Amino acid sequence: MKIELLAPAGDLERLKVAVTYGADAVYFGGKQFSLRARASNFTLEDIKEAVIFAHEHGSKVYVTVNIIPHNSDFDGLSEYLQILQGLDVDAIICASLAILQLCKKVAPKLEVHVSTQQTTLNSAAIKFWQEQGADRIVLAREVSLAQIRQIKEHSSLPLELFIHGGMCANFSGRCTISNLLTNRDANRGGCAQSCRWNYHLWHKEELLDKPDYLFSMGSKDMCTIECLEEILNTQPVSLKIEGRMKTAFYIACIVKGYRFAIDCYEKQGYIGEDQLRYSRSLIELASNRDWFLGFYRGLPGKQGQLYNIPNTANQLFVANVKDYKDGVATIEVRNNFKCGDRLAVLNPEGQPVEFVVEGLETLEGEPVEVANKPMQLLKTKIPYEVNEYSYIFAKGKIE
Amino acid sequence: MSEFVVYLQNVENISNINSNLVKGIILADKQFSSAITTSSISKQDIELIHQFKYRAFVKMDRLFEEEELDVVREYLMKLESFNVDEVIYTDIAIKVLIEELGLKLNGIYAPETLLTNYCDIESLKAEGVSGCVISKDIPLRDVYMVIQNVPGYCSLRIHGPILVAYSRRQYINAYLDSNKEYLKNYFLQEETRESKLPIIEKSTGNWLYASCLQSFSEIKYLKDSPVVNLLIDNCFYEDEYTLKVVDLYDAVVNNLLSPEQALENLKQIETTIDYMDINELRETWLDKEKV
Repeated sequence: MKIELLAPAGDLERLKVAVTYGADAVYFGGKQFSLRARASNFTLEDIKEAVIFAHEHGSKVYVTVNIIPHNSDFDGLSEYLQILQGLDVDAIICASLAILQLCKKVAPKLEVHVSTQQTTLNSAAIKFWQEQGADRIVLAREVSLAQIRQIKEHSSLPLELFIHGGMCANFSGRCTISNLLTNRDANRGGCAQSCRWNYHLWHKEELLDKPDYLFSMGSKDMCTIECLEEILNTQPVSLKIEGRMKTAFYIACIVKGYRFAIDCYEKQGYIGEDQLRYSRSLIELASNRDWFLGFYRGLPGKQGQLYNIPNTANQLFVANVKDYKDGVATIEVRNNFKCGDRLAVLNPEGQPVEFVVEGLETLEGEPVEVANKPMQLLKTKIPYEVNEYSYIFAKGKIE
Repeated sequence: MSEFVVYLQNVENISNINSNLVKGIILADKQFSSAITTSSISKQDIELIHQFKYRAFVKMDRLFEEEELDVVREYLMKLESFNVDEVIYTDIAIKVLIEELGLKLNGIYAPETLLTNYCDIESLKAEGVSGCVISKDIPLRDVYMVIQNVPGYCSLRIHGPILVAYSRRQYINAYLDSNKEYLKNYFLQEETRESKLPIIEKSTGNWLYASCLQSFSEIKYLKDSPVVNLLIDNCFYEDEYTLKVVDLYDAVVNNLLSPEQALENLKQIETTIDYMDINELRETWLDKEKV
């Protein structure tokens, strides 16, 4: 059975990028009932377009309905689920028994996937959800590879595993620090990520702070490319990338990186060293925080924590491609670069290709030496066919 | 009429309970809960509770990993053989295991953050879950709505530290490069804030708490509401404190003290504890702009 690569989409643009770069399925939130309230999220018109686009490209669409609902949050939910079914959405991802049951009743064609917000760690908990009619379980990110293998021995429900992206420091769905410190509801889309803040650590009246950095619960991001083969060996139904707030370039790099590795595994039964190195180099283009393997090889300890370290988002991504005609691309500037720089283009197909910026000019034909105005449209020659899904980046460590 | 159910670290303190409102005692084993006491629950403990005509509750406020399930099964069978009346559990797996083993234990599902509406609680009731503890993350108005929609089914935590985060990680060990348990008198203080948050770290995980909830202002209404159990659940504080707290609730219910007087007296018992009135549980916002 083909293992699904499931990518996030904060908006239609990112959904199309995810699908074009090889996601077998995409997930996003609507305007209501979804976590990530600050993601752009999709109107019903957007969802309609998303489903048409994804299905045309052979990809599935899952809509997150994953809030931990309060009494008033059920208003309009029944109609919303029926609309999603009518739009041919493939599944919802939910964290509430009542929502699951409602969906099965009013929109039975929708699959229901139980969100990681339920923190499902074991086969007995999976059995509960299976008995309720769940079609899939998104396992808690705290489960190790050894535990997944054990769970598979006792459970037949398809499992979805996170393979990349931000990690909740605490069990997902079991943390309300944000509610306490900011009144923003962690379980209804308002999480302020207060776990990433700095804290003093006390024992009675004694301060236990280290001299160079304060205590934090902040987690490194998960990146599993180094143990992807072991994950694939557990035969999950789906591998999930986190990041509905991430940029289109991020989505493109991460999806392409994992797509390549999964395809190698499916063709050969393993991922070769060179293939792994290439996948990793694509993923590293979009790095923004230090990575670790999550809990897949056990409790991470200190290597899973971030202390007082600013995000390390790299500046490799320099421009979008808006148009391409007769060897000249219209590009939208995102980061500084200049004439003479050696850049590369990331495309949905094939390996990144290099070129040297021979010249830049405005749409009005004025020459430009340095591209340093974000969102400015410029023209430049690119000696390869590029399109709206191409991303230009400063030559990094592509191997 | 609701009944008071009280957590004791040491069951022998049961003889010091003065209030007639108390109908149940909660005990907990360190391995299967957030409890920091080291003694294990024995058959004699449960017999003692029954001798005093109380119902015996056991708290299992942990999520369990796959390799622990056999041990959990054995534990549940042991609890039944001890004639434990109710198990308060955080992991829905416990419901499944109790059914799988054919045990007669009543289970009260208490996932802390997840039961924030009456629809979910009605669904759980319909699925055979014996009882539920309403989340403390919703305003009192919503709590009453839940209680009214599912009468005679819910329990409510009325007093005790408010759990704000539960993690599998061992944050303190990671930070201090150590490998031990941090059980009592450890606190986190966000660098720009005054309040200190109690934290427990064990080999099984990490529990972070906020202020201590107190419900003097509402206790008379709650006492007569269709809540089954009103839980006084202190994970850190000594039983001596808990018993004084029970006396204060008893005094408010019996019109011997006003809620304000009870709160004043409470603050005298242990001056270092920050309290939050149950009425202060606010509606939360979904995004930054509304704060």
